[in-house]
Amino acid sequence: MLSRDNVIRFTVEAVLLAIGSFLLIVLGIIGTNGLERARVQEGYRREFTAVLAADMYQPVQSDLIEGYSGVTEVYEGLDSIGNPLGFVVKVQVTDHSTGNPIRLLVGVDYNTAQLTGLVRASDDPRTSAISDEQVATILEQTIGQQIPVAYGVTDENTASDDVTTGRLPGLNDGIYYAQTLSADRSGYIDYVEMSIENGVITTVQWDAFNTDMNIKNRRESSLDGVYEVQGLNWASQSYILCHALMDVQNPDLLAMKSDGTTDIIDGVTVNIRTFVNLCIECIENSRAGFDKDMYNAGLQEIIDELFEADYESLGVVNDDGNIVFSFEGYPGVFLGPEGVRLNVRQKITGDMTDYSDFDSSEAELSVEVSGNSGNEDGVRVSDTSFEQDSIDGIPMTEINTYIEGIEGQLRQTSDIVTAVNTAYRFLKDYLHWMA
Amino acid sequence: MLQGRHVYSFYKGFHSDNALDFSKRSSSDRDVMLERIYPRRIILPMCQHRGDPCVPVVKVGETVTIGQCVGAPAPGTMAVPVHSGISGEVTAIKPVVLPDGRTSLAVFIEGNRKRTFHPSVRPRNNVNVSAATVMGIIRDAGIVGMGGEGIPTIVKLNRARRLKVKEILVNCLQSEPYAESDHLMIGEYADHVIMGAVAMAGACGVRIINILISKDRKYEITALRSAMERSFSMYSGYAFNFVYLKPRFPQGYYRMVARALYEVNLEEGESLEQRCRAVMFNCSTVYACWNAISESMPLTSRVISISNEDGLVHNVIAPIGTPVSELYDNVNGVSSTSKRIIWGNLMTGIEIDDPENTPILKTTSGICLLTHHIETVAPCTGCERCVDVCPLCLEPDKLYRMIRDGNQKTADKFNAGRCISCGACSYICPSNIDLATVVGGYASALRGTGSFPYNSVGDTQWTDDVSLLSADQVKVTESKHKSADEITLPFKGWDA
Amino acid sequence: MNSRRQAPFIHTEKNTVYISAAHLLALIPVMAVAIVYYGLRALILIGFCAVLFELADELCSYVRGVHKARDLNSIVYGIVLALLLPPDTPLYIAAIGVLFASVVCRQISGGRGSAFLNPAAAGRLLIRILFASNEGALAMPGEGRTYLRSLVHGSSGFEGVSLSEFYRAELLTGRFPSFLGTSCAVMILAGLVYLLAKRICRFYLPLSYIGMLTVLLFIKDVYTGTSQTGVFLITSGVLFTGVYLLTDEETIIPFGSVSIFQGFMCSALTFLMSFKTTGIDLLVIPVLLTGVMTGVLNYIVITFRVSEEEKLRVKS
Repeated sequence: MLSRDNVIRFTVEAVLLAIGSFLLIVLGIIGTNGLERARVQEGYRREFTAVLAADMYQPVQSDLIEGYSGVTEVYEGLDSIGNPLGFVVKVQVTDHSTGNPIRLLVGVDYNTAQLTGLVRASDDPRTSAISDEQVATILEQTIGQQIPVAYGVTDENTASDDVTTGRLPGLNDGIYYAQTLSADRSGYIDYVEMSIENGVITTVQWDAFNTDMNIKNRRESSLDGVYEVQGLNWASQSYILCHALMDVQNPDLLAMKSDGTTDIIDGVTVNIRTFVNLCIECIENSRAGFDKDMYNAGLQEIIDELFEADYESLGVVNDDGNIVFSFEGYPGVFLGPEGVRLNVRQKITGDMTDYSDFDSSEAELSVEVSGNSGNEDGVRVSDTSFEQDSIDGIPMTEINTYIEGIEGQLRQTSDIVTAVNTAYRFLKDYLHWMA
Repeated sequence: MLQGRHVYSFYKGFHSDNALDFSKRSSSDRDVMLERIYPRRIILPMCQHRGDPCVPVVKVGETVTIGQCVGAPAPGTMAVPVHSGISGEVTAIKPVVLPDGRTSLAVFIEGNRKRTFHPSVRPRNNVNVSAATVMGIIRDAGIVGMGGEGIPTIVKLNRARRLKVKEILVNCLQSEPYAESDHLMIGEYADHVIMGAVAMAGACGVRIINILISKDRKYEITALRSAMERSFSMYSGYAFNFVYLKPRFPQGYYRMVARALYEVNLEEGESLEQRCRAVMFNCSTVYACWNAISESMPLTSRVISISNEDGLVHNVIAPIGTPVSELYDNVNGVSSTSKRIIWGNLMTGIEIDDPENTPILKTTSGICLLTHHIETVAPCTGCERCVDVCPLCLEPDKLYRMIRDGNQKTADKFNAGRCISCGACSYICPSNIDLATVVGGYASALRGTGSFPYNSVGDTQWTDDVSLLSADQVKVTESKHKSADEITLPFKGWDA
Repeated sequence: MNSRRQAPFIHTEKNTVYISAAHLLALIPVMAVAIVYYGLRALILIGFCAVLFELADELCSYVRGVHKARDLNSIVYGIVLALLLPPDTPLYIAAIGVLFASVVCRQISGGRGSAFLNPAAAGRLLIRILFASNEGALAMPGEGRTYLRSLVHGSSGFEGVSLSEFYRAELLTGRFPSFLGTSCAVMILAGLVYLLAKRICRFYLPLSYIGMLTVLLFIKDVYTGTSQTGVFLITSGVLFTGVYLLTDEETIIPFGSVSIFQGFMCSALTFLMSFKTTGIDLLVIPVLLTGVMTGVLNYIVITFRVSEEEKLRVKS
């Protein structure tokens, strides 16, 4: 047996060894954490760039993942300063022709819910009958399109992709802009800038600049705590509101009450009337083809005429290039015939067409859904109307994009589309898209 | 860096664990520990050396004095006389069984609490004596190898002269754990060691004296160097060399010394004198020789280390024949309630049951008192640490199995007979297997039939003229040898 | 006046308990790595193997009617076996390995001191053979520290990670998928330093093993124009083998030229096997063959020595 001295000695040594070891390990972990992050990010980049280009990726830890059969891993793509760019969802679906699994990576844009990429995952066992070319074919048809996706035979006469339910018809692609012509009591002039791609409102930005150019924009002021509103700070509410509009695509659906507030958007307590009005003006400008550059040029022209001088010499342009001028003291400038109040586009172009009531029947595509058409998901596209059903558990009303699929390969098309829609369903729940 | 020759030493053996090596501690107690013991009685076995027993020359009831011869060699035998270390009355002369198993007649002397010296014990006025005289003195003083070997010193001297050795070696390599007697003696009597070494070199007819010492014995080295400087003017023509060896056990064994110094592997039956042309004496033996030359004091006492398990060591000067019980009873701090009493040192000693009737002999350098503690024996793990430490490069684990299984022929082929029972294998065995007892015992049994190098006829020439060391006979002995030998010691001007 | 027994009456403090305790302490650094990197399941797995090994040895000794030396040696074997397991090994698989190591490999061959195969290596090889699917499931260090389901169900899946993706510093600190205790070269070396400091092991065989293997790998690198020697030494677990398996004096020849020869042979086997296989095979099969070699070499050496002595006697 051990002598008492040795027992004590060994005990002390064991404690010292344990402490020393743990310290050394912790130091090692601290020392290599940066390397590990770099290595992990490098691995992510190598795997995910094909579906979503981002500066860094981080795994999404959510109990929801386990609840979605098929979703195995989810990563969020971020830009260099940590703003979200999109999601990479690793989905495993069953290839119904062989019964073997196939693992796909689905990239989805954060702001627009558009598909950014679709490839096989690196750990795909490659036992399915679905080839890389088939995945590429589906990707070709869906990239840049909003998910979820349905597929079927497309009528050539009605082929169009602007049939999303809730989407406003007649929108022209481009960047559109509108600002209030009078400053509010705090001296802020609100503006809305809206991007439209493929007839879809993809980005909306609502902010306000001050007539006193030494004061920061409202968004920045609210983040600094200078500009305070009830509830969330104004910047957050603006952000939520803009995304709500991107989700619903129609300012009318924001359910603005008579007092200018809305109850259906969580977190938004501010008066949204100005926002809605400016959005409507942007939408009308879009329909009229009056983009941001034309708007600013028009505004400059009005000021030049009003003061018979070059607007730049008046010092009404701020650092961001916005024209900071309140027409509060010049009510007659925007008065049209019969006392009608004009906006910038109407003032400049003289076009008094009512773009708010756009005839959408000319451009809409209707989709007929049949439960027993032979198509696995029960979706068939016709040139008449939609019949409500679901695809991959998603109501047809939510389907944003219809594709042709792979010619003669319905099963494979169905499997790949299921992967995309599985990613959609997860993101919808995770991000509360329909809230 | 110490000046002198540094020798790597043999590459095996072991240096005892630090936990057991208390040499530094005992060194610090040096001044107070080296005291004299005056026992109430002594037991003087007639055979305390290697060779034949001597014959009692006193009778029961006779009064003896310190230094008086009580046992003398019978004519024609290889023996040396035995002298009383106390003054008192002979109470009995009867056989005793010594711890090593030998039975010997012993003289029991009861002390009279006086310190009466025999008339022959007196300082010698002129130590500038001849080599023959030195040899006579050493013979008559009953001096034997005090390192444990027990060979009569005169036998070695004779053999050295006959074989014309080139140098003498003074062995200061006591390396057993708990054994400090030699080092204490060097520290106290370094002058005697130096002078004794010169005397013995003169007796052997050589001029080179090598002092073998462990290099970590700084205090003893300093003491010896100082002694050399002090007595430098008294001798001339003799060259002292210090040879430093690593401290490890059993460095002092003559075969290890031969390997370390001369790179010679001595076979069974071979001696240093034959193969290496050198003769080795223990430092305590050298001290005893000079004591006999300068004081006319025969070998009646020696330094003994008394230690216990707590590492407490007392070094005392005790008369030869002191019972073990008297030793520890007279030393403070050593418990007599210890369950195990070791006669000798821990590596080479023998456990005894009857300390009342077991005396210390001329070759006993220590007594150890241990508590009763029996280690559990575990199965051999095949670690071969025993092979690692065996100074003779044997394989004790294999030999143990061979001997245990009765496979003695194979054991012989594996040189089982060379085992010197140093105990290093048993000491180091993690499983606590008593390898040394089995293998060493087997080797001893084999050696019983072999030859002992100092038993040869050529070494017995001196035995023809045995005389008792008494006042009347000293002159006779000296004059007899003087006529046969021209060498005289160089101690001119020495005033004893 | 009679004597009892002869010397020596002191004994080195380095008895079997001391040596086993030192081995146990030398395992602390690698155990710490396993626990920090793999969390609770590693702790449970190590403790389970250690306790089970001890109990199995006790039981076998009781059945055989022999006294078992209580010297922590069984616990050391249990821990070494556990450290050779993948982090997500279920307990029942570990139990099978431990029972095989203790009952079959150790006790049937005669118990403590008689086993010619390293029990931990033998038990591990059995697991490798019976549960090959368990080998691929190497978890990433630092993930799932509180994950305990694997102790029942095993690994959830295969981590297809290539070591070439890892930085050298990560490899050195063991932050890559590996067995529980074989990954962190730094901590294995810490264990080695402790063993050296305690002076309870001879490193003839381990050093010759690592040295020869390094030379062979370097030659291969020169020949193929690669530089994989360092990475192989750090990541393959051969350091663990050298420090913890090849210092088991029960199953090797601990010192001398024969020991060095054994090290060379062991490294050559490892090197040759590295062309065909990876993982645990590389670590335990050469060790087990070295154990077999120990018996053969001992026999050869004895026979040779006896015949040489015989010749000398005849000559003389």
